Amino acid sequence: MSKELRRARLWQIGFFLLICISLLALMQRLVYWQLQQHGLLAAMAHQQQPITVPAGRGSIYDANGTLLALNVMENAVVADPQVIQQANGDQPGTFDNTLSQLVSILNVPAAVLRPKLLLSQQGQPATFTYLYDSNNQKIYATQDQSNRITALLNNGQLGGIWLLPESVRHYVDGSLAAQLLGFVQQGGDNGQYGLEQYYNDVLVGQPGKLIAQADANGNPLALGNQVWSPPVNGANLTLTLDANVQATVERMLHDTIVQHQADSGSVIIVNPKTGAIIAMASEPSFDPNHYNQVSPADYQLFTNPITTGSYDPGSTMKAITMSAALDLHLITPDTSFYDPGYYNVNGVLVHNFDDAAYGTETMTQVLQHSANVGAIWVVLNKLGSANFYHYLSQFGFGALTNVDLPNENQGQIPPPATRTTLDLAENSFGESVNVTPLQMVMAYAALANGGVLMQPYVVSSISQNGHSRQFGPQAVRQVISPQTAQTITNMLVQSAINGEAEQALVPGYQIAAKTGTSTPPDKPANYTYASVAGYAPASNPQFVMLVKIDHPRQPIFGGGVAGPLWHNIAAWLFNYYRIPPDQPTTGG
Amino acid sequence: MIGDEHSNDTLDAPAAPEQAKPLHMARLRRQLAARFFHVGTPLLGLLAVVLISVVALLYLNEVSLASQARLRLQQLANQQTQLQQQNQQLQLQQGILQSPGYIEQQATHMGMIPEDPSKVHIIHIPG
Repeated sequence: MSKELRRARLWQIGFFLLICISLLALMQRLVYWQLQQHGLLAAMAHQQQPITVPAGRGSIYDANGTLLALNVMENAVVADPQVIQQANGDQPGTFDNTLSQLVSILNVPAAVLRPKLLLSQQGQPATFTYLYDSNNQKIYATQDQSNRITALLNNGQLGGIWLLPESVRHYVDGSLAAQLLGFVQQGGDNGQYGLEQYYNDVLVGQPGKLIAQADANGNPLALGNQVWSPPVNGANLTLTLDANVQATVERMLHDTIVQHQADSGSVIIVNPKTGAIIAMASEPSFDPNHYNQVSPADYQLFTNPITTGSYDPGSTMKAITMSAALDLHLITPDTSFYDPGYYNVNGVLVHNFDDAAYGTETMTQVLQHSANVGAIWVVLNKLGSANFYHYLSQFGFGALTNVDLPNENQGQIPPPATRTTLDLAENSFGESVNVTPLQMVMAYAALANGGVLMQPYVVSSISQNGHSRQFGPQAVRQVISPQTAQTITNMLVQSAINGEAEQALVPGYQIAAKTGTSTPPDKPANYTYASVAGYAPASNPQFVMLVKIDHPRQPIFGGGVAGPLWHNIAAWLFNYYRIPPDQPTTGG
Repeated sequence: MIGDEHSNDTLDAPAAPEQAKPLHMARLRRQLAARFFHVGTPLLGLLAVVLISVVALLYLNEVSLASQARLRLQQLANQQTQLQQQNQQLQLQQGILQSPGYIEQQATHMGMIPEDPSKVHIIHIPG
């Protein structure tokens, strides 16, 4: 072997050995990390917290596509007093420069901002803190304010102040349908009350996850490995509610409450053929954009009195009592009896509300006069306890309507074990029985819908990522026959003319309506719930409506307080929905 | 004998290239090895460095392109976020402008008043 060849061979062997040693070293590290340190690394991997990317909360629209609620990203203004002090010369209490700049940009008084910039706040060392305005609302910078703050930050002139993007829920029309919508807690995604609570799981969506190699500040590295599962935004809700009707009803309800110096009031309008809720208004209410301005003593404002509150319905119940007796063919509209103005129920004299004695009167006249004695006569002499309470439960009283709203009250009818004859007599005209306004309006909707009780609903569709789920009418049961429904409708139409519900009538339209006035057991006689329930046009009902005014000062009866409001809303609805008259009147 | 000679020729003729081929290959290998190792260690090292540098350069170039793409992606994601934010703001503005409360407020400013339902008369024209 030549010298050159031996030298080349040595090089080859050396190179080969070098590679072998390198490979061995690599294998050793591989064994170390993959086998020896496997458990430790796996545990560390499990402890890694992926970056959670919040999903956008779904929006809420009314039946016409009008936006009611949506989330908007906004810049919250936050401060770190320690950094502010350093930026102002590191002298204790020196933050005047920052304060004056904030005052000029945010238009918030210095006295309001100053406490949040102090190093010590309420005896505690100050940390990273949000800034609040005079109304104790978190300050979100407008686009212009954000630009000005960003410019100052970039120039190093506003140390210790940051803009923190946050998703903020906005209710476009303020307090419109507030108790129906509910609200979302600031800084979170928890729906409270109303639809926000009931459909919270649908509205929140699914947050995304980012698992990435990050720098010391936690920012994902551009070159690092990333596992990215994008967020799925929450679904949008489309309601059966009509914002135009809702706004008009709220305005008229407010005017009525002011006019009669009432404590509160509610109006609910339902499509009797579908159970779709068109409007659901209560006063007083609140602005869900500023829900935290409601004092703890007024938290009941957050609840929806139409679904969670109950009341003695008074004489509106008489239509239900009559329907039951008509359906069993125990009476006809012309069945008559003698009304002396009172009824002796086991030694207790129960009077008509006006103490009047109507003499011989038909069942239609009982409704027209709203005679308590007539209702008692029907239930004690014709219907009987078992039939009456059977029909009450068939109409949905004492049970949940299963409307898609939270915390529904099921009302209360006397339990069988404790029912007395006096209970039966009082229940026949709506006293000593508790119902929700929603239950009462749905019972009247059954009368208007050929005797079929429908399930009320507020959400007509849920849409997400181009997919949509529709919710349609759901019949609960046939409560009374279509013939009975037609008969009671005719009786209500006839009884409203020259009757207690006369003020609810609209010329040109047949209106089936009944008034109701009741006094809670623990209140004085002049404390009343004044209500009118009815539907129109009677020949082809397009809407059923309940108006209820709580504790009106003057007058105090359903016909005088709730009647005019029922009339005004009905007249407006006929015009709004272009409903033609079904009882043409001749001009003159 | 001619035939014998011929037969010998025919027998030997194929064997000749097979015997010559290894020798030729060995000679060629020796010549190449000599030339290759004549290049010398420094030049060989230099070649290795150049080779590694070229590979490293290519790698860095790819990494740089990937990095630029990621940064561009981040910029686009930020832009998308800003546009979504603007879109949300515009939706909010649109919602406010279309809300019944705002429309009523504007109508009131224009001197309009809510209709009085009791003064509305619906005229039925017989068809």
